[in-house]
Amino acid sequence: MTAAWWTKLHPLTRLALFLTVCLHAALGQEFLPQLLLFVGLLLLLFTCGAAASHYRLLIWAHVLGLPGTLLLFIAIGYEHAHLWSEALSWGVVEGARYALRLECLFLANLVFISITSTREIISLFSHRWMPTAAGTLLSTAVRFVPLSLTEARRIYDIQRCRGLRLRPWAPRSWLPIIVPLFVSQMCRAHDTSVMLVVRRMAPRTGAASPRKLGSADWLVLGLALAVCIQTLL
Amino acid sequence: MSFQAAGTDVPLLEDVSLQIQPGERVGIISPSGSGKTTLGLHLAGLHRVALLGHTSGRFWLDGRDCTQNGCEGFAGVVLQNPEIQLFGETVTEEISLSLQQRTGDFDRERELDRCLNLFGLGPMRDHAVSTLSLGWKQRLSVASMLALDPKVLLLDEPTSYLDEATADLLFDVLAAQTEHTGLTVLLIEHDLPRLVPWASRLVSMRQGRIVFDGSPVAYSPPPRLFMEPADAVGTGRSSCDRERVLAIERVSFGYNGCRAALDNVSLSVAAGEIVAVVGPNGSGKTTLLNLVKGLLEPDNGRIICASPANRMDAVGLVFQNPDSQLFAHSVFEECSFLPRNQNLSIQEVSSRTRQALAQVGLQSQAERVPFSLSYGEKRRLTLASTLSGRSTVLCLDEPTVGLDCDCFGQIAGTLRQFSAQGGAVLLASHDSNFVKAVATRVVTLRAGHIVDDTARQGDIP
Repeated sequence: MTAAWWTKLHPLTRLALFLTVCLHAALGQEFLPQLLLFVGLLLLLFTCGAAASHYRLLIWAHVLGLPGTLLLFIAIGYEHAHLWSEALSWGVVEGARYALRLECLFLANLVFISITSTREIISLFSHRWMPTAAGTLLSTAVRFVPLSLTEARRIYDIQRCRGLRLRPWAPRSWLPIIVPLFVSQMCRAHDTSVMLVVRRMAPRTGAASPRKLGSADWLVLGLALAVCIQTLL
Repeated sequence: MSFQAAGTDVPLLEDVSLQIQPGERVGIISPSGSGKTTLGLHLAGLHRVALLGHTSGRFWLDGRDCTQNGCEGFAGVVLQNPEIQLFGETVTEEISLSLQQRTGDFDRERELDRCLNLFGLGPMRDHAVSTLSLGWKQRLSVASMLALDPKVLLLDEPTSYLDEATADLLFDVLAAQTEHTGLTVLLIEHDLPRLVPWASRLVSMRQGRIVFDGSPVAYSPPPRLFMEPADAVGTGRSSCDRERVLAIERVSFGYNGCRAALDNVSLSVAAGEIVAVVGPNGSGKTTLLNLVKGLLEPDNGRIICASPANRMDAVGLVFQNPDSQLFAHSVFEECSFLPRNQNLSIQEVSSRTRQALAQVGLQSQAERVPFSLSYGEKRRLTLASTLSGRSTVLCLDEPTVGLDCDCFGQIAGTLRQFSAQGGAVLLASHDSNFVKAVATRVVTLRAGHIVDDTARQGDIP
């Protein structure tokens, strides 16, 4: 089986591509390129073997986010025009444009996480120019996010066993999850950073040299830079 | 050498003097909170990274004075929880990561195969790390640490999540490594029966001081409080006469439609019984407890609880890690969380909470902040906070992990008291000593099937 094309790119190149897509999604004004970007990212997500939890996240983001965004824009339209017909036509178009922008950012994030392993992300922070403490901190933080999600689920199950009923409108009811999550993640962050040092993966503790950028990487980085300049201008 | 943690007055290590030779197998034992992990981190040269405080005196690692500078990379470390120690996507990648960091000339492929085969990981080389059970993850974390070829290996209670066979295998591999490669092993462990025949030297600590340092043969352990016969406290009736409080009927369950974690399991538990569920890692013990509690729903079969309350209320489940549930500002508040959620009256909540705290010996600590308790006290608090509810069935997942003999005794006593009052206990454990001491019946699970169900002496109908 041949390796997927993105595995041939350096993690730094993938990060640069991700940032370029984010920049374009956030600042780009044209509807068609945004739509094409969205379709491309969606196809990439399906082909890169993203985890089932990522799809679930995507579906929930649509179910919860899209109607709310459209309603918000319709309300803004009504504030301006005081006519429901105009508010509806303006709100739906602008709301869709805004939602598309958010979707691209969201999808780009999911694609980046799916095609770049934690180890590769960690390796990005293991360069000479990165201060040791900052490198360890960033590496720990990267590891922190996926583990936090699993831990939050586990704590929720434990507190459910103790009769917890979450009420979204009552912040106090969230304390039995937030406090243990904070405490356990503090301990976990500490242990993870120690293990990074022990495994010689923290910056400057290892013998291995980081992967070099190839010609394909330089080409993609150049293209990404051009797109960034074009978007900013 | 002494060590004092930042912001405290009491030293965690006091006047410790120790000299360790290459190739020694040192077992470090002590009650919880006596400073063995602190000592281990110093011996691994990680005190500057892992601890916040001041080290006084002098100590040398590999001929270097490391008192103030530390010596990162000197030793390999294996912690209790394997989840945080693994960084690769697959088993092979995990070991390769260590080999990448290793210096010197060696045949990478040969070393990879050797490390994989040390713990029988060869057939799983392409498996994703996330799909492994905790026991297999711990095997992998030790293998990847050995792949770094350290001079010293520190293991902090590495058998906590391992079944008997895997724990034996780990001890055998470590013994072979010390013989063949001259590796020095520092092993922090509560499991004395396994540690004594393995270690070449035993270091016992109490309140930060070394109280014994010598041959394991010369060591006389403190009496184990819980080692009285399991049927010493009981209802005096056979399980046939007792009321059935829990029935598991032909239950099957698989995670995400994959291989069945439990297959056609049937089990009936009577009031007054303490049933220990034992079996190797990944045999389905924790899954069974989660199904009984109602956190998971069976794919087939059913679970019936005799109590009129719903299953979430009737079954109490005590988890392993206390830090995953403590949140309140006082021990009393923490313990009363469950009865408050069960909508009991204020008087009943208060009396149940006080009774539960008394059962585990924490009544005098009611006003303390839970986070300031020792690990053993936190474990007892989590037990009390489940006992304070209306549960008639009490489930415990590995109740003795990380506990010393004193805590064993208290937890064993509490379980006996609960069963004597007509409750039923279902516990999953790898700790054969604890099972022998408390269980009136032992159910053995293997690959999701019950392969043995034996009533213990004094309780056979």
